[in-house]
Amino acid sequence: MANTPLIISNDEPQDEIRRLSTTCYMCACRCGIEVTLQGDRVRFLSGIPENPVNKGVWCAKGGAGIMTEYSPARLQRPLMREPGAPRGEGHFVPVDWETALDKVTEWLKAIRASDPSRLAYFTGRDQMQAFNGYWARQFGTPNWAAHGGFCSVNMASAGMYSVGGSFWEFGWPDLDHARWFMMFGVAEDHPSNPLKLAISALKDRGGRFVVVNPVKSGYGALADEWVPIRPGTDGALILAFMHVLIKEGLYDRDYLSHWTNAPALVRRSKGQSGDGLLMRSVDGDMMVVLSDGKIVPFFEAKGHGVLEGAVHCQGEEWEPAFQVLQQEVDRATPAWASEITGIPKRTIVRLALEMGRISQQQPLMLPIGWTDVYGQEHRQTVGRPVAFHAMRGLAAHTNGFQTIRGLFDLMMLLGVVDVPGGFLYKSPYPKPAPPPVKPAPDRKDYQPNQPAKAPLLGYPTSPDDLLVDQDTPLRIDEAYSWKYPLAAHGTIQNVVGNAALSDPYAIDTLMIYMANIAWNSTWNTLTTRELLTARNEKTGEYKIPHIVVFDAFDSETVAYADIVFPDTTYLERWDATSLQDRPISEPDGPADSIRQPVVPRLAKTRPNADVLLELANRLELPGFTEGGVPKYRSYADFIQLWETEPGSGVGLLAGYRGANGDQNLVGEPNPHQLEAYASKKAFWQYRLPDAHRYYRMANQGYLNWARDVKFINQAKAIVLQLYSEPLQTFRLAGQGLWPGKKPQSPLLRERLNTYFSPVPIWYPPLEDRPEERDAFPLRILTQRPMTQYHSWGSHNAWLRQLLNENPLYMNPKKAASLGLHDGQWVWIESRIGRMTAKLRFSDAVEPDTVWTWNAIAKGPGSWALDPQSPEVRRAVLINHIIPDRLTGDDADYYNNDPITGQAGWYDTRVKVYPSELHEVWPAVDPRKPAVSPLPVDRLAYTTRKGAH
Amino acid sequence: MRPTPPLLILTIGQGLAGGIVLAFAFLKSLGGLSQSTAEALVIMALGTAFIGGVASFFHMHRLAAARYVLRRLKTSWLSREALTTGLFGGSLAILAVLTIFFGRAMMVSPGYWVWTWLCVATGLLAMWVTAMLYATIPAMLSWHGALTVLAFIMVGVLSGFGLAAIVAPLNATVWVAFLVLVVGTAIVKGMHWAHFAEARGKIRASTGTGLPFSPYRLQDTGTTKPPYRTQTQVWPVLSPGLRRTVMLAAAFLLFVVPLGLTLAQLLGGPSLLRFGVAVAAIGGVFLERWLFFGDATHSSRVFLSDEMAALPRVPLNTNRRPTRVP
Amino acid sequence: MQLTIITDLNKCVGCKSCQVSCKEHNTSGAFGPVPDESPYQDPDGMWWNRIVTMESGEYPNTSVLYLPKACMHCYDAPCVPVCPTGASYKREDNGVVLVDYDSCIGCQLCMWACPYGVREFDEEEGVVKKCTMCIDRIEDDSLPEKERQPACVQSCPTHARTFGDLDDPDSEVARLVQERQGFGLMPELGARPAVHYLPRRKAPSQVHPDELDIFMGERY
Ligand SMILES: Nc1nc2c(c(=O)[nH]1)N[C@H]1C(S)=C(S)[C@@H](COP(=O)(O)OP(=O)(O)OC[C@H]3O[C@@H](n4cnc5c(=O)[nH]c(N)nc54)[C@H](O)[C@@H]3O)O[C@H]1N2
Ligand SMILES: Nc1nc2c(c(=O)[nH]1)N[C@H]1C(S)=C(S)[C@@H](COP(=O)(O)OP(=O)(O)OC[C@H]3O[C@@H](n4cnc5c(=O)[nH]c(N)nc54)[C@H](O)[C@@H]3O)O[C@H]1N2
Ligand code: SF4
Ligand code: SF4
Ligand code: SF4
Ligand code: SF4
Ligand code: SF4
Ligand SMILES: [Mo]
Repeated sequence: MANTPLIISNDEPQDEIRRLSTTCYMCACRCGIEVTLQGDRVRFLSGIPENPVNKGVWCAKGGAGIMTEYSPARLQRPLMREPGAPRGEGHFVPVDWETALDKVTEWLKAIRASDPSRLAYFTGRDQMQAFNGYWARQFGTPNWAAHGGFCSVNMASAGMYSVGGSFWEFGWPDLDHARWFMMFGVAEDHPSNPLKLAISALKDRGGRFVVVNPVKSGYGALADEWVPIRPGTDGALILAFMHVLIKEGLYDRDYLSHWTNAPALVRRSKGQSGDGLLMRSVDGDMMVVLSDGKIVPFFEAKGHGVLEGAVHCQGEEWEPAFQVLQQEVDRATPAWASEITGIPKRTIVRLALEMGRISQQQPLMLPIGWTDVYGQEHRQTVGRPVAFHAMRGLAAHTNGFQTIRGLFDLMMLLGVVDVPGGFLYKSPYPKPAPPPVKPAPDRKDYQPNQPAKAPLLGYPTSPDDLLVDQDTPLRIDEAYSWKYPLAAHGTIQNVVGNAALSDPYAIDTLMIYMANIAWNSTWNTLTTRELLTARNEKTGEYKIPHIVVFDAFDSETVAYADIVFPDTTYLERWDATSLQDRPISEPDGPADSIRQPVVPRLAKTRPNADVLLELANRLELPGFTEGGVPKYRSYADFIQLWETEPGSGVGLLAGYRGANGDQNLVGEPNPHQLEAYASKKAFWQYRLPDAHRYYRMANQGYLNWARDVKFINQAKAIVLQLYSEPLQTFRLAGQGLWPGKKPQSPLLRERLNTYFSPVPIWYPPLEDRPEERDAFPLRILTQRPMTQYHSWGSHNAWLRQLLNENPLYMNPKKAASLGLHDGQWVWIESRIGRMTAKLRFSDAVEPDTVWTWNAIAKGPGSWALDPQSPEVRRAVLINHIIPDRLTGDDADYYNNDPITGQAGWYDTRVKVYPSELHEVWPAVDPRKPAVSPLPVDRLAYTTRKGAH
Repeated sequence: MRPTPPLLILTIGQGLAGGIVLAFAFLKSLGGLSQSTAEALVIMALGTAFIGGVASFFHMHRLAAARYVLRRLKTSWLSREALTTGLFGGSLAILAVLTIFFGRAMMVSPGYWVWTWLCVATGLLAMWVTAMLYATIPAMLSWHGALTVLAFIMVGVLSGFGLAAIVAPLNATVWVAFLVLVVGTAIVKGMHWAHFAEARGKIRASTGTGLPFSPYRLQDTGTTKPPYRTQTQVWPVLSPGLRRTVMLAAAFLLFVVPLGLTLAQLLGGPSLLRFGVAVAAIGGVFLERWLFFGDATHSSRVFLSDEMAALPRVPLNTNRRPTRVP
Repeated sequence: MQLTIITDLNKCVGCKSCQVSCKEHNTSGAFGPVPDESPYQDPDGMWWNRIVTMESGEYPNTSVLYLPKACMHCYDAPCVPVCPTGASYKREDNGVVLVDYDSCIGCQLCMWACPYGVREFDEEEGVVKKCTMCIDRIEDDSLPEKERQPACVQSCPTHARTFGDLDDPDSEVARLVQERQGFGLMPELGARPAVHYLPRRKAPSQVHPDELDIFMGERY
């Protein structure tokens, strides 16, 4: 009987059964998992019932982790590009760790001593951003970010600037109490098991579930009502909802005047310097007007500031912020939105009535007392059982920031932010809107052999915070430049293009960790791959002289590395999911967790964090070494010992702090903290007392506590930003009316002026230029399959069977109008190129949209797959035809949201027509595999002793 | 259902053997059967039965357990098939021994006559049991019903008769009987195929999945590749064109050619034409059997293809090894 | 006693967690392995639980359905009487239908007989395999109580699946079938599946169409 040649060969099946707790990493959801081992082999992976994230359940990817552990695609030893061999073709020689580390240290040392910004370090699906960001800051480069720029920074930023939190890892619909739930543009989401549990809870209670999405699938299949919408138009729909709600009086005036800046007085002086800014006291407090005409600071008004009217004061005209919103919303009639969205007017009005009535007329009273920031005691907690959720369907458009701002304003209007049945923050949020962290804005803040002056990412509140030198960006990715001012997550998708074109400057070394930037997390893929190998015409040297890739598997990007550092899998290393990072907290309180090595490391692999630590020590980076002596021997050390500030008592993990491990959240470092976690099911959780669970932005008890545990600096109310003054400052800069930094180029000015509206607006996605609208009538989208995590699944023997090729789904009526039939090969053409795909009819997609699954296709030679694999020969990657840049006058800009730099993946317009070619095109050239594929005929995995 | 060679050969062989014995018994009873022809016929019957029997072993994938095969005579038609096919083979073997080794003397004895008809009976019984095995599976919508039994036996006999004609120039009476058989079988087979068509229409999402609307579209079978490899009872749906072609060819070979050639012989055509009958019958039964399996609709098809209104997607998924990029 | 799994189609999102957890447990379980062919080429493999995705109806009134499909542990399991060797059998004590690999000859007749296409054939071993209701879990006293349930039930992220004794009128599964109009598939074929599904139930809009007419007429 054919046996399974597993790559780990020294682990003969044994009988001994052990169970260890750790945290899953088959996706970013980070469920608690128990690993059952038989001998050293993984017998079973299952959810930990007590874990706050997944409460015992686990998903398809999670269970298939076994096949990831034993994947033939795993890198096993450091690799160096074969001397003389061209980059990108996969010619490597294995080297030992010393050689690889020496080489990279040499590069980095030189950079750090001359100009640290010549190092660009970008990370993808990374779960140790706190560590990576700290590393990069100590190095002294401004050029670090995780993957948020191509992911969902619109969601994060728009939330942070509106409510000091957001959806995703920052906040959550309270489906344990909601009776009405509307979900915009979600396929699977980051907290995927929690969302499934939540939807299940809603269904159990008979709650109504409305899904706004051009496609009906997954969660949408369960919708009580599916609202098919044209992509990129949700902003218009949301404005129209607000239009109806305001017109019908179905909104929460009390909530607005108490907890949001709706009553704040806004200066109306068009064309003059202070236009649109808020009236402030000498102490900087915003001012509101009471019904008797008295103008008082917001907090003195105790929620009695008026929401309408006009005030003359200091020789200027002022009006409440709410009124400014109202003026914008006035124009947004259901008829107008219907034209744009394709949703019948009647449906828009009905849905607005539904959400308005349930929230305003059927409130939920919980017998929970709390005290607000005005000192008022509430005997009950008023809930409004209308919840929303949204993700990349809103975020991945170039109008996404404003659309999501709109959604948060809608939630403020209904009074559903941090109330039972509505949207709930996850600890450590709420933070002030936006959180008070800013990158250092000047060139001189990034000096040779110095750490950077401030954390590298944050939230600018005015043009003066931008990282620009006149019009020139300081960062290689142009984050925080005039082009993408609020790029709070950086813009990883701009890096390769800019570095290859030395725009704004040339770099020396590009380090990539956990991002497949040569394939599925890039756009205009073929060009990007060329840029990675572009050479200086005169010297013949690569324009990006050094590329270092940290990966665990032989991805497409590995082929472009000069040095490859082989990471372990998540089952082989220590990790922390930290409150300093993207927490796993749930609304009922902060939580964090660890990973521990549960199986032996494969071959010569080494945890990436340990490698970075080693580099830091060799480079003698401050923060890691003292007088040349390393402070941490390993990442496990770092996790336990590092503190945000010396003596702060706050570190990566919040549980079991203090020398005895008996302190929470704040306490001395505990050198046995990881052991404590490991013995306590690998996670820690603190449940907020009921009185601290709601209205946290204005819950004095909670705020005091949050200050004590250092979530926030002051126990001051967090005022929700119905009106965003920071945005207005950028608009003023665009108009030349800002006293500080402002751009010179008229194009830049116009962008600021157009898009930085302080109240939500809708504008067509930037791809919708009239010239091309008609030529490319359809919008193309991707969705995440529940069984695949980006490019991670295709080397997994089980997961790849679940999905290994992807058709293009099209509405049959649309197809009929185009003369296309089911199963036919078609061309999909965007303005930058075309590709083939096979058509599949589906009535579950609105007619102006076509879609397919994300990241299924693979390049030949990668992932230890046979080059004839379906992923290579039959799957399609639409990234080939997603434009990376705008056109015409705007060709200097990436296809990004003009506010945050979020990649506009879902704006791409295409036309579809019959193809004479009946195969996948374009086909990329095969590369040499870095690890050889396993020619297994039969895989019959088992851990049973004596079994074959 | 996937038409696997062992099943094709088993059922064809069994039918041929049964038909040949029947023809033999007829000729024998009508008198005038030469010893050599008798021997030839008996050897042919035994040979085809043997081929079928051997093939049946290839359909078992674990011979180690073969000894348990008669355990379920009470309920399993397959247990019964093993028994009756064995009986048939055994009685055929005895018939062959009697015919070949005891020759002319035996042939005139009444015991031999009885044994011959006993062979016919076990043959028909074996065919009936085999047919019942197929006909009693409700999930095999195309097979479920008496028509399968009728068609199975009649086609088997027809093919056996046709093959027998090679060695035994049949006399006019037998030819007329054969003609009647051909016409009768054609009618039954026609009805059988109609039943197949009906079965295809019985695939409905409403009872198969509880989906209220129609037509339905299958988007995923759980894995990208449909489970045809591990589930032989389902197979890519035949395209209407292929089905029609095979059906026409089968009908032509099984009915039209034998009918024509037989008539021609009756009207005085050369007796060599009987070879044509034999060849056509063999070819015809092969195609008929291939269709019987290959075109059978199993109730689980509802989980594997679109509603028949549209061309099913899943079959398109099968033999699609990618073509090489030039 | 008749053990069964009830799937609430009003909750199943088609995530295939149950499909993978089934393989994950069983490949090393008492009835494993659950093999795969050419796992790193054009893969094909055995799955005892498959999630079928169907769509029906015309846009925009489209219905999208996910249907987890494993052995239904039929009361009148047609796979059992057809089996010549007795390898396929139904346990009298709990109604679970199992295959005894030692006496299976691999004739696959049971696969034809099963209306639901849930039996799969292991070519290498020459035997038919299928869902065992995780009998090796539910009867394993060494497992903690909460794990003595099928892997697919334990993993389901929407808690769409419930395990229990259908013959016990007080059980959760019997109650669900009773109260939620649970149905079995292909009742016309007479297998009397023990596995049941709960249909979708929609929560309607609270705004009456007539009222909306007035709104639309007067204001929008
Ligand atoms: N299984 C799995 N889980 C994952 C991932 C994965 O790869 N696999 N990836 C993780 C990552 S990195 C991320 S960022 C998250 C993303 O999680 P999601 O946001 O759920 O991911 P997408 O697949 O981008 O889903 C976008 C949805 O929005 C819809 N949509 C597109 N445009 C519009 C629009 O204009 N309006 C509306 N209303 N809808 C629109 C699409 O049809 C799709 O259903 O998922 C995370 N979770
Ligand atoms: N068309 C289209 N493109 C998209 C999207 C879309 O919706 N449509 N979504 C975008 C979004 S939101 C995102 S977040 C990106 C995601 O894209 P990427 O961030 O590129 O994510 P992956 O494809 O998962 O690649 C991550 C890399 O991490 C490696 N890896 C996995 N595990 C480990 C490990 O333990 N250690 C190390 N060192 N490496 C590991 C993998 O081998 C892989 O090479 O894709 C973007 N691209
Ligand atoms: S949702 Fe993500 S973290 Fe949770 S089990 Fe699945 S793959 Fe693992
Ligand atoms: S394949 Fe095995 S279990 Fe199925 S009927 Fe044949 S002997 Fe019985
Ligand atoms: S579903 Fe199929 S295999 Fe399972 S008991 Fe019923 S007939 Fe037998
Ligand atoms: S009960 Fe067990 S064997 Fe059956 S489908 Fe569920 S996990 Fe698989
Ligand atoms: S695990 Fe649950 S939700 Fe997922 S496919 Fe199975 S039954 Fe459906
Ligand atoms: Mo993402």
